[in-house]
Amino acid sequence: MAIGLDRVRVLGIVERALAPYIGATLATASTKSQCDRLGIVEERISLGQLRQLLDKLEQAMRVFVGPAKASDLMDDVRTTLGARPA
Amino acid sequence: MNHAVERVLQLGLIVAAGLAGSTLVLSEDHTWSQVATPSRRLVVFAVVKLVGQLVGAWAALRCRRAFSRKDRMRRAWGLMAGGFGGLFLGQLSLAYYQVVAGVATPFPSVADLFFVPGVCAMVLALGNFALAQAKSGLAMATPAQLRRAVVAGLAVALLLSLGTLVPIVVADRPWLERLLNLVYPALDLVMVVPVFALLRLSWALRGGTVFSVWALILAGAAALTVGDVAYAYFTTKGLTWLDPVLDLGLATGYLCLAWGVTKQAGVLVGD
Repeated sequence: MAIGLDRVRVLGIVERALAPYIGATLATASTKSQCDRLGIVEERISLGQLRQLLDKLEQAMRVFVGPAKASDLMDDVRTTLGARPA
Repeated sequence: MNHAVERVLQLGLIVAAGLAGSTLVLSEDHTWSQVATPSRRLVVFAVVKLVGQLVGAWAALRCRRAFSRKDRMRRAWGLMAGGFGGLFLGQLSLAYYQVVAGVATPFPSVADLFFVPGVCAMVLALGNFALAQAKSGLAMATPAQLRRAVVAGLAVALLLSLGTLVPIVVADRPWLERLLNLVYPALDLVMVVPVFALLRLSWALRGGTVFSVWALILAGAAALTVGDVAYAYFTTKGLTWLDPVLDLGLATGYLCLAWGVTKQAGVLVGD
């Protein structure tokens, strides 16, 4: 049995959160590129991988929307996906 | 608050464009010449530029505060605030001659002590923005695309240099005037390189709210470059009838830059 979250659904949620700020094309390309870097290629994504991905994207978004808004933005995604640190 | 400030900047753009356009079209009209005298035009353009510079410095400081001490973006916004500050003080010095003393602006003058570091800070700020965006981790451009943008920027800067700097070098003017007439366009041409890099990077942001920030900042930087280079070139050639267009270029540059930075402050810290 596959363990973890559905990758397509998860990435869709992440991309939709980023798109209003950086545009849908860049949101999709950046999420994919970070997944490639982190080795997230399976159909299922583990909670650990998801947390890593969200941390990386938060770092990237800081440049454009500032640390506070980047943190708020990704915290919302973490809450939606149940990926908040324990 | 941000919305009101943006309205002021838009009004400034309309006033500057209207004044420059009317002056060119109605240059032969007696009534217009009596209303929009050269000294009155100087006052209007000086006020418009000062508003752009002051708003730009204030908004850049707001952006700077949004980042932590070690963040490259804090340094970049700080440099931009300093750049706007230097340009504001330089413009204020010019305004003293133009508005208060009512004399022709000397060149060189004390204003250049503020303008030169101001433009340097702007160039460094844009360079830092380009580096921060390139290293952000978003898939904005491949290294090859970025290299091509930088090479294109260098090529444009080189072509513009050949066309504009050579006549300034050989002009029959005092050495300090020639030096400063070289320094401004040279700095602006250096600015072309980070502008091209940022253009390539920011293009990836289209469709998002952050795109308008960078579109305005880059439009402002481009207008400043064209305005400064044209100003130095036409001054050397003695073509003073183009002054309203040159003033419009510089005013547009300051106002667009300030507008972009104000939008960024809205994204970073809200209203």
